[in-house]
Amino acid sequence: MSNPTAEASTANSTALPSSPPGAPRWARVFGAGLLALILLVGAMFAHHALSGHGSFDHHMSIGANDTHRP
Amino acid sequence: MTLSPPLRKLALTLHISVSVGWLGAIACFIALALCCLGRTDSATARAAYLAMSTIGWRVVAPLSVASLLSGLALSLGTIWGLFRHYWVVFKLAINLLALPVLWMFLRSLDAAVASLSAMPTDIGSLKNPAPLIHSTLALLLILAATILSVYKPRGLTPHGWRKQQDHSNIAPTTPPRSLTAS
Repeated sequence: MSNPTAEASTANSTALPSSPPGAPRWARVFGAGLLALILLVGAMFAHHALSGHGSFDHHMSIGANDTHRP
Repeated sequence: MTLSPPLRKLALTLHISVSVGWLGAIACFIALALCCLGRTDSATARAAYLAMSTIGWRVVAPLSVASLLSGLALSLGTIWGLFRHYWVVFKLAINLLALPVLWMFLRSLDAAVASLSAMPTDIGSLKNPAPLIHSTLALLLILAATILSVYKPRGLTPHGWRKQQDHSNIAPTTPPRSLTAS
């Protein structure tokens, strides 16, 4: 008489992996850096859009941004 | 849809050409931005701003769009796919990040050029580090994309892994070499 538990155990040991492997280390590091850059750019856009200095154009407008320039 | 070998080579040639051209155009941009920062005469700095605006709209912007489109055609038309490998996804993200930043920066540059002709400007206000910062960051990003293209580091995304499983009767624990590197 067959043992269902043993069969299931054997089947599990040779079964296809059901979940994808995790991202490699380089991808995690690179992705984190890229995400940080995207967030930084988004924050800068939001800052320029929400600040009282007006649009993003103001940041680069020569002669009008002397108090705003880094 | 898979591109035929001649079409694939054509798309690859186009993609490399426009991407390298984009890199070269940004190098020119950096030279002009440095010229603005280093010069003490306003006429040269104004000329550099005009040149940056022209190069930006007529060279950098078209090349960036062409790089995106040729890259999309190349990835969707070959075994690499668009979302199967991390390095392809990162290249796409870099390009999609660069495009809106470039567009907004060029609009800002246009505002600067317009104000140059509208009002007398002292050299101090012309020495704005924004063009140099933007172009240097763009150069670093495109260099990173170039390195990814050349080395094609291993790594399947979950979507790529599932696609690979669908097309394979056996279940490899690691992706086959033919898919992850060329």
